[in-house]
Amino acid sequence: MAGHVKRGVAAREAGRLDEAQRELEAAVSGAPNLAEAHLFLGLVLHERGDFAGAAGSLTRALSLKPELPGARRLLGYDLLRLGRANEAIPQLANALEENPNDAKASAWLGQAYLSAGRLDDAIPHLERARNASPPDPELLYLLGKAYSQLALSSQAELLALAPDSAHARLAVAEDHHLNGRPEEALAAYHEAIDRDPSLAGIWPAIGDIERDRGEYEAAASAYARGLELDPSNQALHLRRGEALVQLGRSEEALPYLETAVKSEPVPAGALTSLGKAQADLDRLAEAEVTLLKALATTDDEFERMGIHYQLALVYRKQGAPEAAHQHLSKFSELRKKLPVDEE
Amino acid sequence: MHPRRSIGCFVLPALCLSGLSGAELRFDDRRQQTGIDFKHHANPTPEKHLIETMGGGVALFDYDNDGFVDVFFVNGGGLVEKGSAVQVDRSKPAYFDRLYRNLGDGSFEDVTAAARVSASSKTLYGMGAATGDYDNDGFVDLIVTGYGGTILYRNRGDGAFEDVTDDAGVSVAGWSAGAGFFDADLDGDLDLFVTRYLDWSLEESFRCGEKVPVYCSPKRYPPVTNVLLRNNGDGTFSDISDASTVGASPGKSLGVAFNDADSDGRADVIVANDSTAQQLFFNRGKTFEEAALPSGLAFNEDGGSFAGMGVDFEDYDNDGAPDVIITNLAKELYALYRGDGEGVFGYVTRQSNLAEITSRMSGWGVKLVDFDHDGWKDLFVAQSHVLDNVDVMEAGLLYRQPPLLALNRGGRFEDASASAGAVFQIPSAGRGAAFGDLDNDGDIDIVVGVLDDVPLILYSNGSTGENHWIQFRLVGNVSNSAGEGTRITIESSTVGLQARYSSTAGSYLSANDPRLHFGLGPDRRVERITVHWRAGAKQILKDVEADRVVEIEEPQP
Repeated sequence: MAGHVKRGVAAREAGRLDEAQRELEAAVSGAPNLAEAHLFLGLVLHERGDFAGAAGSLTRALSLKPELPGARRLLGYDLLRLGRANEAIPQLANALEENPNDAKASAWLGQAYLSAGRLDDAIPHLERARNASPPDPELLYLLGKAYSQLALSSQAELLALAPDSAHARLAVAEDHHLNGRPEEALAAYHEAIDRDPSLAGIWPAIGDIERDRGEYEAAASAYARGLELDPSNQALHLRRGEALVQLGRSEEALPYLETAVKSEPVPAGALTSLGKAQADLDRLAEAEVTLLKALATTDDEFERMGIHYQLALVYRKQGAPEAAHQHLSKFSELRKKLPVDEE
Repeated sequence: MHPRRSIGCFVLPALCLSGLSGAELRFDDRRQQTGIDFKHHANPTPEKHLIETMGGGVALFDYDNDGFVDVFFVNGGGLVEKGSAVQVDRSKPAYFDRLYRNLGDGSFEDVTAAARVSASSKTLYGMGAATGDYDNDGFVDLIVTGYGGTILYRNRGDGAFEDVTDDAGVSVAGWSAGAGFFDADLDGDLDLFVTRYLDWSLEESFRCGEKVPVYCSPKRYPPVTNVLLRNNGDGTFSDISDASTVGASPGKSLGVAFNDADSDGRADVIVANDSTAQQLFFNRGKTFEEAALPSGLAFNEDGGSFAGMGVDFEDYDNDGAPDVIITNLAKELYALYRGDGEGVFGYVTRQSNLAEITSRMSGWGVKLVDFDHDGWKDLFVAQSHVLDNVDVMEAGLLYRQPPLLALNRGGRFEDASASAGAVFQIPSAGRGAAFGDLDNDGDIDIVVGVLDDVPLILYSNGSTGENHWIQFRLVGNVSNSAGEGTRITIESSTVGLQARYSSTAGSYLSANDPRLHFGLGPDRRVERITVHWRAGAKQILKDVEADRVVEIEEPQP
């Protein structure tokens, strides 16, 4: 029997899996209580993709010799591949006790918990695996899936526990918002705010929906309400300022935009919006400085294209046709380069 | 021809006694009362051929010189499969273009057959129409545009038109859309500018959209050039697109309008382009220089292009300089540009409050007209999205939309649609819109072409209030017969200066009543009227009574 095992192992190492399987099957047939024979046969079957066969062999091996190194790890994986997550869990948990730094085992265990619907157990293992290993698409996918499911189950729990609460309405609103149902989202956000006017983040969300709908007056009002609750929120200052600019109320917009550009880092588009408002008010020297600064702070070619156009308008208003022409040329160059007129 | 007075206050004096604030301005859809039974047939197919969603032109013109503007509707056409090809069929009465004669009593008579303007023998899928007396015989002629060619109809003056397309050399290939007659070379006759939309054909048409079939975006197709045809003065035209360099600037062109953007006495051309830069062709005499970019008209204020469709070229802020409005799709904001009279324009959509009003709207036919007679030109837009299933694809956007009426309050617009009549609450697929005084009561009525449906025939009550008005009917002797290209400025004590430019072109693929209309607010007299004729003569009239149509004849040389 030892000969079969020895020849089986040698054949596996040489990549001759057919031969290896024959030798090891002969070994277990002749010596059914030889744990190592079952172990190596399980290994060969695993490598051949016969996870059911491998699981059987490895289970038999472990029943004969529970301390076989690596066996539980492999068995756990094979059981996971067979969709037997609940059986895989104790094997993989055991494997991790043997080697807590085993990132793969951690990932598999997390996946097994996820399949078994045990999100609270899945997430720590998946996070541990992510931190311990290079980025892996499948791992990231599993992590995302786990969090999504956690979010859904938490939401379901919330709705069951307190269906009429502000947070329940907020959860519903966010779901609508995320899934492209702005009208329903708005209604739910308003229900949430009716129940608890102090809930953070609702007014900005309402403002964003109104802005995207083109209801700039409603957006400006919503951002104003948000600022009442959170006066130092630079992003809100920017959004209110931009909404007021859209309404042609640049004078009102200025203080908000000036506040927004003081934050570090300056939010994208803030300087451009400020420059636009200054130009509206014929504060052209200031607009020029602001827009040049905007140009200097972005490498994004689409943004730069827009800023060059704004600068051309400012220089034209200032009666500086050469400078206007220069920026129009740069605008045109970028426009030709970027796929702005393509579908 | 003799000066005509408005009959409104004479016939129905009670209407002139009541006050009419801007909030009471109303339009009523009287289509059924008029007897106009036209129905546009776009014939939409599952294949989503792009022509199906783009037509709907309307023309208002007095074809029989009886003093009442008549109405012409451009139809689409049938799309028939013949083997593996799809062809346009105009042979059925349902697909005819139609002309309705205004009987002057609120009703109209279908005179299509007698006028011979049905296009029944053509394979042209109709788009728009333009009007002008190109042969200066005193009878207004008509051109119809479309996919597959153009049709030039010469008005014989006996109630019928004659198809002179080939004899006149006015057969424009490809997909023609907007058109306008104007005197490009100041020789006293009307030349013709025809816009063309895309390099597209039925043979190569395909459906777009992965999950939901949609009409293809114009971005998928190459641009094409527009066409300038010079009137040779003998009933024929010559294509001077290349010689004039108009043909050097391809676009995806739809609406077209004329005015003198740089005050040099020559008519310039604004063209609305779909998803590419808008175009402004400055008339330099023998050539046209496309200079929308340096003039500030090519893009929105962020340098972005938009789906330009309808256009008007009028002075909305009463500074004497023509401005431009271009309609486009939802979320793009109708583009309003304020001109300085020297060919430079500034984008003022936000400052005029149009950003707030139009952010969710998609517009086609458009005009700046003083509907409430307060001295400020208001805005009407025929509205609808271009995609008939946009409701499915994007939350919050609708295909059918009611028209928009926005009143001009000293340069800033207010949406007055909610109180202006039931028609402004009824969604439809609005496309072309033509503006004119259908009942000669002094205010401006509107005919809206609705895609694949019956039109809206909107009568205004604008002349029933306390504000006054005046209209001018021009008779050219050296200039073309209708005085196209003439600039009129008026001054009245309260309202001050107003300006208008004589042209029937503009809007979306449509043609307007040639009479020049002004609202006067409380002023009962116009202190000064200055007429700058296209051919160069200048006339001044003083102290003219309001609430009438004044005929002004160009001095003989």
